[in-house]
Amino acid sequence: MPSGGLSSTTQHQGPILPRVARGEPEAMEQCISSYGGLVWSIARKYSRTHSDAEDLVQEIFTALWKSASRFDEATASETTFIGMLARRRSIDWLRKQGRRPDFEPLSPNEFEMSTSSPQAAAMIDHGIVMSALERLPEETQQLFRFHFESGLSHSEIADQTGIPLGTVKTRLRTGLLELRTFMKRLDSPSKPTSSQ
Amino acid sequence: MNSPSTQERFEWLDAGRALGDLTPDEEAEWKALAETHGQEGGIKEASDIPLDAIVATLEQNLSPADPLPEGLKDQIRVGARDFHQVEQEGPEKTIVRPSFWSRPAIGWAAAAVLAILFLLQGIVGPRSGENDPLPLVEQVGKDPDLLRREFLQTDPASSPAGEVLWSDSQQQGVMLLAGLPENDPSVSQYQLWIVDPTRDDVHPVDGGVFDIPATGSGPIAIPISAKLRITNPAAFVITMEQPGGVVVSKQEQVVAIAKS
Repeated sequence: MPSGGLSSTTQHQGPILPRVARGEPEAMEQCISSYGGLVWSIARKYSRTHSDAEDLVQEIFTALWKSASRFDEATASETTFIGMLARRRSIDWLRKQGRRPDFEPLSPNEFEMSTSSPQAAAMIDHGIVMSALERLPEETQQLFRFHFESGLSHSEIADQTGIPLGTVKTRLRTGLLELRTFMKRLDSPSKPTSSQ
Repeated sequence: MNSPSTQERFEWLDAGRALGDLTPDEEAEWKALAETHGQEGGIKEASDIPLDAIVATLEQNLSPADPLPEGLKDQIRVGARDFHQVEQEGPEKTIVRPSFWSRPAIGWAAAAVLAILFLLQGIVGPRSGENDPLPLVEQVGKDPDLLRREFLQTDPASSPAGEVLWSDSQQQGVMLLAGLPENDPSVSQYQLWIVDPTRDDVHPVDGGVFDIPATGSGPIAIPISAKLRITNPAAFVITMEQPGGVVVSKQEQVVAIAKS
């Protein structure tokens, strides 16, 4: 399965993670085949070397085996759950490597807190996310691409673009909140909006 | 209902958390707001889409597709198999165990109390002249994700009591032990092994050789010296080996094990 353009629902007959949580070896194999590319693409962005990326991928899958029982189909799609876990683990890994020393990793409870919004991450439409992204200022879009495509830290983006570090941080945070606002509007076009 | 400023502040911090750029102060503020106000229903509206999920979606869509290398896939399969095996059968299957190993474990509560006593009272090092191990215990104890594993008391008459403290992020740890018989270093030495199911190697990782002095029946702190990177260890096993330890243990004399 390619990492890009994943649908918000899994392409399997039912979710895999509950079966992984029950310790079914076939489910683990299916999980590796289905989501290995996604995890690999995320890990590679946060790693300086191929070897580091390999170590990180193995860390992520170990975490996935342990966290599989926490997956709730009602609150997040399997792809989103795994993507979130992979990203969190990658950022934590970066912190350990000293590239982002100021970041505190989430505890398992906090991870659950961040995924437990009753309004489902499972309902996220990838097309709407990308449409919303296109509505952001071009400069902000570029910052998002630096961050997500290349896995650059904020300070690395600042170095590359010449934009002050604080401004990079502010634009990314603001951009993410604006993106969510645009998503709500795109998802509910009939609803009146108070401002643009 | 929270004031607009509180709501906006929380969302601002939540965006930083999702992007992974919170400073320690901001992290603490986010936690406080989430815990203090989140449960009142004011911080997160029911209709809010989790920022984490949006970030994950961006990550997926903006990342260039690339298949998992086959060699790495094989390593993950091995890790999955080992993890499954440990989950199903316990780490004993990865080591050779003596016959007494199947006896029921007792003394968990005693070990926990002992560990607390270790931390509150005096802790001695395994050999005279070594550095005070207390700073190491304190340092390891700062890890919010500190892993603690109590030693199983397989034989109430001779098994040691205590626990292992291990920090993945610091890659260091310490064993807090009592009741381990003294050894003659010229004849044999204790050696620690760490079972890491994430590694593709079937053998546990060498955690270092140590001695128990004549006065060592009381509380003793033994630093762990892992020879390889350890991730979420499933078990810690102490064996008795030849002086200097061995590269691969036959595990003919397993004297203690701590596992989840």
